[in-house]
Amino acid sequence: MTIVLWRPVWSPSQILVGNASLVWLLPGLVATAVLFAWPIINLLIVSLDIPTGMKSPYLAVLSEPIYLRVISNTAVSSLGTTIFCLLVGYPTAYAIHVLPPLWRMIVLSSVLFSYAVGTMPRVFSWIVLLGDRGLVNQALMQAFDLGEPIQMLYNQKGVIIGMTHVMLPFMVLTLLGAMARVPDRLVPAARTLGAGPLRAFALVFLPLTTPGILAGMMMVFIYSLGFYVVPAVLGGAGQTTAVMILRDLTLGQGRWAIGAALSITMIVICVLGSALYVALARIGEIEEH
Amino acid sequence: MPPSRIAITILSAIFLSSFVIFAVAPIVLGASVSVTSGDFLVFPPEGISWRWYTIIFADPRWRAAFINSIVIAGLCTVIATSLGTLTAYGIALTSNRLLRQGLIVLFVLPLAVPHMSLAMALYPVFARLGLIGTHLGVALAQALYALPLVVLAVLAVIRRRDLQLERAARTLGADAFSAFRLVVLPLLSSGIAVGAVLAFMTSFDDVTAPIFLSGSTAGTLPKMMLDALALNSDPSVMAASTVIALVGLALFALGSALSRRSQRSGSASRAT
Repeated sequence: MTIVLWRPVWSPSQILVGNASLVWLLPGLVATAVLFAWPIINLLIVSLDIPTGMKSPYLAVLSEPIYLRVISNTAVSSLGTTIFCLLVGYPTAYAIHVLPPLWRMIVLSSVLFSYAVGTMPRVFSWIVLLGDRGLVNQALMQAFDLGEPIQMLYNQKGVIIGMTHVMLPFMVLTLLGAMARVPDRLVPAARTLGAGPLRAFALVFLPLTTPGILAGMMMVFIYSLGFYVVPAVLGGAGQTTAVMILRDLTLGQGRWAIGAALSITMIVICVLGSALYVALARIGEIEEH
Repeated sequence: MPPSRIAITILSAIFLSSFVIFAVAPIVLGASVSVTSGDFLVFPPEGISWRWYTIIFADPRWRAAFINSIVIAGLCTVIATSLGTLTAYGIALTSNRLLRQGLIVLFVLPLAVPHMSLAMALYPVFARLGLIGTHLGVALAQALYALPLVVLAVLAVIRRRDLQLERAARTLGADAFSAFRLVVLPLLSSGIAVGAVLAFMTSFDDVTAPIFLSGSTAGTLPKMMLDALALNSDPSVMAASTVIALVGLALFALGSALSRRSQRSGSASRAT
C-alpha cells in the first residue's frame, strides 16, 4: 500500500528523523547499555578475573558450606512460598472466576489492595502480628491453651508467611488470566455429557489452566529467589539468603569476586527461569488458537 | 438446595473470608500500631496518639529520608517515563517482526534480574561516575527497574491506538518531532500516565538501590525503616510504613482510574 519512490537516503534529516525507529530507540538503548549491559559485563569480568593459582569463585560458591547453606535457604523459602501461593491462590482465583460480580469485586479488591500498599508496609505489618506477643500468638494461645508462644518471627515460618503474602497477588492475577482463556462452553459440555462437577473440573478445567499454573509458579519462584526485604526483616540469622549477603561480601568485606560469582549465578538462574516462564505463557496462547 | 451444595457453599464462604482477612487484615492491623501512644511495636495499640507521626516528621533524619524518597522517586519517574515512552514508540515503529520481539525481550530483561544483583552491579560503575550517595544515582538504578514496566504500559496503549494519525500529520506538513509532540504524545497520554504511576511506586517502595548506592547522604524512607528497625524497634517504623502504604494506595487508585479512562476512550475511538 505504500508507494516506494527512490529517494536519496543520505540526507542528514533522513538519517536523523526518517522513518527509522532508531532515533526513538536510541536514548533507551544508550541507557540500557550504560545501566544494564556495562554493569553486568563488568560483574562477569570481576567474577572471572582471578589471580593465577586462586580457586575460581564459582567453585567456592558451589563447594563452601556457607554458600551452599545460603543457596539452600534461598531455594527452600522460594519453594515453600511457591507451594503456598499455589494452594491459596488457585482456589481464590477460581472463586474470583466463578463468583457473581459483587463478590468477585470484593475478593479481587482485597488482592489489589494488598498489592497496592507496596512491599515495605506488608513486611513490617507481619513483625507486629507474628511476634511472641503478636496478635497471631495471642489468638493461638487463647484458642489452644498453649503454655508458651510459637516462635514465628526470625525463622523460616515467618519468611514463608511474609513472602506468600507479598507474592500472592501475582499468582492470583496470573491464574485469573489463564482461567479467563478457558472457553466458556467446555465445562458445561462435559456436564451435559454426564460428568459430575468434580470430574468436569478435574478433567476439563484444571488441565486447561495447567500452563497458567506452571507460569504462576515459575514467576513466584523466580521473584522469591531474588527477594531481599522479606527474609531480611522476618528471617533470622539462619535464614540468610543469597541476595542478603551480597552487600556484606562486597561493601563490607571487599570480596567482590565471590560476590560477583554469587550474583551472576543468581542472574543466570533467574533469567533462565524467566525464559521458561515466557515459554509457558506462550503455550497458553497457542492452545487458545 | 441439596445438603452437599450447602456444605460446599459454606466451605467456600469460610475459605474466601479467611483469604480476604489474610490479604487485608495484617496491613490494617499493622498500620493501626502507628497511632499507638505506647513505646512498643505490639498490637493492640495502647491508646491513640499522633506522636509517632510527629516524630517522623520532626526528627531531622526521618525528614531527610522522606525528602530523599520524594526527590528520588520524582527523578526516577521522569527518567523512566521519558525513556520508556520513546522506547515503546520506537519498538512500535520497528517494522521487522523479529527485531521488534528482540527489542521487547531486551527492554523487559531487567525485570528478570534480582534487583539486589543489579544494584550491586551498578556500584562499581557509579563509583567511577561519581554517582554514589547522590539522588541521581539511586534514581537511575530504580529507573532501570521501572523502565520495563513503563515500556509495557505504553506498548499496551499503542496497541489500542491508531498510529496512522501520525502519518496523516506528517503528510499535512508536520516534521517528525512536532508530529510526535502534537499527535503521538496526546494519543498515548493515558499509558504514559500509568507508566509514570508504576515508576513512582517502584521507586518509593524500593530498598535495594539505596542499600548499595545511597551512601550516607541519599537514604530513602524504606532504607531508614530498615536502619531504625535494626537500631530500636519503636512504632516510628510503622508510621513511616503507613505513609508509604497510603501513597501506594493513592497512586494505585489514580493509575487504575487513568487506565480505565484510556480503555473507554480507546473503545470509543474504535467505535466512531
